[in-house]
Amino acid sequence: MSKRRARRLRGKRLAHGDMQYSGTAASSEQQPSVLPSGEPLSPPRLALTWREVFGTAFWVMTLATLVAGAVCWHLKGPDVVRDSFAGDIDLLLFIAPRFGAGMLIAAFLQKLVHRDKVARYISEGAGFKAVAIATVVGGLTPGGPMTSFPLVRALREVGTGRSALVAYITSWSTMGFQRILNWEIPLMGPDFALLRLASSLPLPLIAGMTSRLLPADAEHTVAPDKDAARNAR
Amino acid sequence: MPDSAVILWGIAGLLGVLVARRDRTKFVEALRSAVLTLISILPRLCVAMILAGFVAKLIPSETIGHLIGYDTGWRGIALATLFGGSMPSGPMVAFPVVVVLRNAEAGLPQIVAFLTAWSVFAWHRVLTYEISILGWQFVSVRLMSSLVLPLIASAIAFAICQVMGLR
Repeated sequence: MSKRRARRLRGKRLAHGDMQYSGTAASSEQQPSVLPSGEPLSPPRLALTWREVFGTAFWVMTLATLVAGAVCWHLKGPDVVRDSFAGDIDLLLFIAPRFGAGMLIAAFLQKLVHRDKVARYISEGAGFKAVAIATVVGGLTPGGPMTSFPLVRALREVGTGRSALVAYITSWSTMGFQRILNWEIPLMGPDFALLRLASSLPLPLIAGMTSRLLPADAEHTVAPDKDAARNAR
Repeated sequence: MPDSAVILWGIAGLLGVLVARRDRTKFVEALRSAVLTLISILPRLCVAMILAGFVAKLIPSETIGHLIGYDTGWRGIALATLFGGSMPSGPMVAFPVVVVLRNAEAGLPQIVAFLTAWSVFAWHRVLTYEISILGWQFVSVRLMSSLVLPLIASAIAFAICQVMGLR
């Protein structure tokens, strides 16, 4: 988000006392939403480049695999290598149908959930309530880091507290439903996913509350005056 | 409990109907984006799985059990936290590794510690996205606030395992 836009949002916030996100804002200007209203959480992926699929990561991993395979062959013999491949194919056949369904769920949800709605839920709360809301919404936000971090930045620029932002990121990274559906249930099974989810429930709250105890000068975010001063520069 | 594939396809079908009823073009867009995401991930996932398979054959499961087995307690949890926090990769590598650990003799609380540390600290993600988008000051506050999270998560997992008789 541009600084100019952030300033305009700040102005709106001060004027209304609370943010208005939906199209009902009484303004001749563009709606003061965190992002243009109705913008999907992530832009639709309509093309793939060769590099995205076979980038550096792919070749580094391929090299590591060849080395590991050669070492395996040398130390344990060809039978073990063949065994390993058979295991891989079994695993892939087990994962593939679940993985495909997970991808579809994520894609559909990105069409159904809009970024400004997510933002509204978090920034409307305050204090403990904001942390609790951020926890719930963080777990429900679809999309990878390319969608989540810009959302956090937008939230910060409209004055959302640090603890809520930390809680949001913690919740998204430990309990993000997309990772659970795409990766955890297919590869580890629903029982394990449930165990880890249960173990992670208090984490966003703990991280959010801990962030309040840390010295305030380590932040350059929340205080409205500071923000305004930064934007005026 | 029905098979997880059935549940996932059920949810996918339900959401698909919801999207299609709202907007046909969005439905087609979503399908396309799902297929493209799948294509972009599959090669890396396959390579990661083959790699994890080889590594599993090279490291005997007793060694893994000895390091991060259920009975290793806090020592294993601390080790798994370090190991998970230093994983420089996305889920397509981390989860095959976790499958290997589970098939060897790693304990459930230790795996929870590994996954929590990996998801919270994910330094590849911190370096590529978080610092550039949110600034290092915010990121350092978040990381400091998250230091104890893997230990807390695995302590809860440990308690659940004790009650349910899992390991």
